[in-house]
Amino acid sequence: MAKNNASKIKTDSDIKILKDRITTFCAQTGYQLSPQADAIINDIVNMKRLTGDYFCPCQPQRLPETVCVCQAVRNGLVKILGACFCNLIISNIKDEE
Amino acid sequence: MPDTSKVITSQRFSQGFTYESYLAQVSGNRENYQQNDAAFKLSPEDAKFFKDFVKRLGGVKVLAILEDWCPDVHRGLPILARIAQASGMELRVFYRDKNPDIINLYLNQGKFQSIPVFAFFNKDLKPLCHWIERPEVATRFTEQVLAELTKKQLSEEELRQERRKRNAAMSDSWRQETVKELKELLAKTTAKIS
Repeated sequence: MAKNNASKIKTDSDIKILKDRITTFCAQTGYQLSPQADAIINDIVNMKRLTGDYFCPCQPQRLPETVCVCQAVRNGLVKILGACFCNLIISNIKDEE
Repeated sequence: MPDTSKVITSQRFSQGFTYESYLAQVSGNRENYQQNDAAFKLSPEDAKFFKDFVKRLGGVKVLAILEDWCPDVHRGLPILARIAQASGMELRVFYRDKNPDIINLYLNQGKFQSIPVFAFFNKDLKPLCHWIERPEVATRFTEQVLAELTKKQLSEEELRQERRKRNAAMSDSWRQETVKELKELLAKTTAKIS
């Protein structure tokens, strides 16, 4: 029981850290969080449990560049695709084309 | 091949959503499925391939494991549904996070719960093969984009150009590559059981 509680507290703390990081990034860039962000964040936190860091669950490489918020997103991916690879961060601009 | 017999029983399989009942209860992303479905055409040759496969085995069941939010699911599931409809496969849809015993049979690289998983069975639920996540071409695309966008930050105009180029490239080829990979997978399965 104690182990389970400790594990849950750790997970909750990981979720908060990641959510704060992404929310800050979105506030700085004008992007938005997906309406299903909580489910996707849970997946990324699970990646941390499995691999040691908040790696994007939708990219095959586990590199510093693929830790959420990944380098591709920081350099404009959302403007290209309208969303990041895992649909966590989305553009708030309607497709003009 | 995972031992699925204790988990994916006939009763369990029947508890999954049909494609229609799955779509009916999806809340946020139905539009994504509809766009992918509308854009996808299954050629008569491909439809015949899948139909012949089902006929040869005397019936095929296919189980899709997914979550609503995933872009790979939005692209892949409508393709599988169209194949199932055209060929007579019986499709059932299961949520990954509500069915950990099912997803744990199909872990990517032995540990990642990647979605979607499309698992194929014969009519008696004997496992045949499974396909995970996305076609290889899409994986290469993510690697390429990552490599490009890691090197430098593009200007607004460059981003606009990339957007046009990428969206056009992704729109059909990924869907057709998914069909191609599923055909190759089922052809290998046919060869094994012949």
